[in-house]
Amino acid sequence: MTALDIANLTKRHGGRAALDDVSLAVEAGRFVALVGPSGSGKTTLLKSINRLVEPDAGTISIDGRDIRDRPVAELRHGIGYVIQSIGLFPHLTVAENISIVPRLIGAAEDRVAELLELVALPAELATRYPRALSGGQAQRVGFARALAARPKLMLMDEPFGALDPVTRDELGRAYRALHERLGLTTLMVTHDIAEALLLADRVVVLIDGRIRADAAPAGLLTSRDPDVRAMVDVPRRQAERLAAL
Amino acid sequence: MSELIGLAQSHLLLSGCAVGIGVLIGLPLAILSARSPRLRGPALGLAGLIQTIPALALLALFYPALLILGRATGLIIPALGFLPALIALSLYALLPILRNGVAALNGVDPAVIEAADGLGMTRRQRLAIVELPLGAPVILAGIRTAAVWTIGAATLATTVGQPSLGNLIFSGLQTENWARVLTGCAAAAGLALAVDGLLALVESGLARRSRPRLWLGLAGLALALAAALVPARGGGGKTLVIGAKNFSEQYILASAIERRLQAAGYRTERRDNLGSTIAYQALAAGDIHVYVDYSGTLWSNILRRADIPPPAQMRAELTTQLRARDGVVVLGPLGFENAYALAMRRARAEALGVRTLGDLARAAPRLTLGADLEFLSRPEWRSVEARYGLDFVVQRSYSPTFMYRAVADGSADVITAFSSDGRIAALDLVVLADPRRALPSYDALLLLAPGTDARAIEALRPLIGAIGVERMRRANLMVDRDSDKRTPAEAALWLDPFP
Repeated sequence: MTALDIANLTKRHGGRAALDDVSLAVEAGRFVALVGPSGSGKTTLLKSINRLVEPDAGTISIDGRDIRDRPVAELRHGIGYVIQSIGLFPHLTVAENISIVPRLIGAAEDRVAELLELVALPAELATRYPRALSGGQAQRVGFARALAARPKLMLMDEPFGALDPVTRDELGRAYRALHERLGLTTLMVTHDIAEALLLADRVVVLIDGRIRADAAPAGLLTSRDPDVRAMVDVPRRQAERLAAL
Repeated sequence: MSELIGLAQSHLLLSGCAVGIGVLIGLPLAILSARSPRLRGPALGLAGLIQTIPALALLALFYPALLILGRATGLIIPALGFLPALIALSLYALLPILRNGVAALNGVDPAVIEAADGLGMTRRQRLAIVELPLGAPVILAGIRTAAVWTIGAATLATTVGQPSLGNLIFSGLQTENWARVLTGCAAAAGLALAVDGLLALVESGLARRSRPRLWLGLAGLALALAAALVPARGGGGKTLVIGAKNFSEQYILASAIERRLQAAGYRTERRDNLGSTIAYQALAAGDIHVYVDYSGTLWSNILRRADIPPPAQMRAELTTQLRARDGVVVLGPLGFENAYALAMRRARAEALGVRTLGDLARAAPRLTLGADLEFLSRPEWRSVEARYGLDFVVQRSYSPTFMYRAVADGSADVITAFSSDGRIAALDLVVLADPRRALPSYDALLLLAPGTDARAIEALRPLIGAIGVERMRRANLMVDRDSDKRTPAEAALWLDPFP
């Protein structure tokens, strides 16, 4: 079943096309990584889905329903959104941060303990303020907040970008497990090609606002497109050099 | 002491209302401005422009503005007292609240805003849940600034007839009663510090999310406002408002009038330190009910007459014309004149051989004239210039107190003294004769607002013709002299020992 259907999406910034007639269909339960150099349009594409960016042309449907058919707030309540800078509310406790979307939609159940457990954080963190958290803990809270209203679709923009390499690897694998367990559909923007190849089951390469490659990780490694090859060769050569040490 | 408490109450009430209105207008404007750069520029620019107008001028501007508005709309708009002071101070409070509000809202971390949007907050939710709580300390700092400014500037409300702690400062300056000035300043400063402290408590309560601090601060502020609303004096009876211009004689006469009205069972209020034309217009509009003005002032300022008839004829014409024009009742002359008179120190006058204004014309090119603030722009001065051809080497303007200082220490040779002034005798000044009758008479007249009660008129009638110039000079000197000073109220008791 198609969870997300993007058709002929175009967005211009000034004269330049950030997205140039992009079409992409994602089946439910898939983990798709959007990769590409800076300015390739991957963040614009992601933000078009929860309407933080309004495209100039094209349509987007989630579960067969056009995203413009309902109020934007309602749309966003149903989509998990995680960003590199996390954006926890500094004046609210961890528990209050996590329950913000349920509070907005008037849900009565208290899932704070359950969600903290889900993202492997100790329960006593609930009463702390964000300034008392480490970077990894803060992003785990960010995941818990995004998951609080039981979304089926997750949009993530460089979710591990601000973390140290060890935490990054650990949190990446932990999220991948959550993705499986909760049956999520995930779209993740990253500029780290190795992360994309290792976490996702489908990698979409955007260059200059167009899709240049769209394949499973193994398939991408054998791409004949020289730009795509240049990108995937970086982690491969690094791995070879590390192995030779 | 009860005077101080009453003034502090009305000071606090005025400042509190002004800051309240400043918040009610400033905060929504800040929210709109933070979202729209097109609004932000003009809004901040305008608030900044208002701030550059001296507070005294801003206050003074609202008296004529409200008067004109009242006439144009036919509505009864009180142009004197609380309303003009409130409007001017509210405008004054606007800038810090607006500026800090915009800075607070624009200063919220963009990542937090993106998260709020991405989670599906509406604009209103984002404002209430994220932006206002995060901006609260900065917003509150703006309100604190506004409160301190407003409590300071509210001392100037006295000049538009709104009682405030400025009453102590202005009348104290005028009568050189420094204890009174200091009391006014200290009380205003104390009030500002106390309110600032309470707001600081609210601010830290918000910043640290401490409910006790927040509630303690808010309760303190509420208590202060409640205290401002407690009526200082009980009792029934109609309230009559007595006006006074800004010099000792006016304070003394207003005190004498006040005592007689109170004895007749009226409650009284004072509007001291009114400007010369404001006082008359306020009387005609019924904002004040009684005050003393001088025939020559009314003749030239209100009737715009330049001719100089004999005193009795001038009084008669004023009586009929002011009644016809504004319904103002000229009850009669008090019995003395407070005319402009050019005066010199006796020794200096004798050395130069100056006895009359004609003699003065010869010596003037070597002399300095010290005038009060309005004399040089008045028709009397043009009349004196025209008839005697006076041409001084330097002309300076002073407030009355400093004018007498100037002639005493020699920085002015000739001053525009007032004939009822006690300092003429005290400083051994001679009043120069005016053989060509260039200066009109300035009989002190008791003026009443249209429709004043007959009973009030009867209570005041004994003052007519009862105060000779010698008595007035002595009463003025009691207040103006440097040692053994008396308050205007004490001098009034001596002047009019009633009952």
